[in-house]
Amino acid sequence: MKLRRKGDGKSPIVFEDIEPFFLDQLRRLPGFADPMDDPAAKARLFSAPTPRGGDGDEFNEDWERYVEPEIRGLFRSAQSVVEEDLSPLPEVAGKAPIEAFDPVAFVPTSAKLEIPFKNAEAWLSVLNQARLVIAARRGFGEREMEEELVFPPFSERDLDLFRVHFYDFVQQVLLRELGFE
Amino acid sequence: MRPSFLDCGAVPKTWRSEIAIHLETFSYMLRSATAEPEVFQEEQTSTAADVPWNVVVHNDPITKMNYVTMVFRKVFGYSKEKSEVHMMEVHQKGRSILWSGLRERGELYVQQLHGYQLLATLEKSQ
Repeated sequence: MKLRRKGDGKSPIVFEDIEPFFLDQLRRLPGFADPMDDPAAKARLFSAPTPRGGDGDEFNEDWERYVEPEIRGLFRSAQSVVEEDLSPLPEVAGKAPIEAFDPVAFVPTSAKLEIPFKNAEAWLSVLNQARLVIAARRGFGEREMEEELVFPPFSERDLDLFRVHFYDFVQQVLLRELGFE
Repeated sequence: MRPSFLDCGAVPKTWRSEIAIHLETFSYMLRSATAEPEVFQEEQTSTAADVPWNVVVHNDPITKMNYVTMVFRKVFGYSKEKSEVHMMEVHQKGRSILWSGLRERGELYVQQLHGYQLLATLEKSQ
């Protein structure tokens, strides 16, 4: 996977020669950003705006009723932008990624992801959502984030930890493109 | 008891009572001038709306430092340097007060921070 950039602050950010393994991780990004019914992931994405207990409870209830739906809408809208940008990418056929660690999974393809500059912020948001949701589901914390990565990953847990780091890599590229190094 | 100078023959009897009143007034003025001043406490009339509220951002081991710095710059319009100081405070001390002021504005900031998935709370200033 290679990054092609003009760095002029308006041209699309382009990833090309994407290997099937990384292509698969990119295609799955919007799915991972959705906390669905996972209580830990939901609690992390929709945290309380004041400490629980005491006179903050009423405010927290109002927040849940009126503000949280707006935040959900914001997240969903960012996810739609990312889905749209990902739609030209080819499907990864065949096996689940955990079974696909044969050398073919790491041979560059002609697949190319083009992120319009104006969509970079939506991407940053979705990448962060996905990292938080995966980490909350798995209970990853400070210690896990410092763990040495196993590559290729040999368990679903290792694969999730790899994804948290891979999405961070893409996020770092976008932050640099936006001038927020 | 020593006789008062009013009792000596130099002061006509008709003046004595008037002089006595003046002396009494003068002596009261002297006592007042040397006494401890009386302090009137101004009554405190502040309301809950006047109490400043703090927008606090809490540490999260997953969200990356430069993402947090970017959010502070975008939401509060802080410089890169100031945003980094707050980001480091969050990282090292577990929390940082990003802004203090009226509650309504604080709520908007917290909403924006949650929109960037940061752990942010609105807390009444101590």
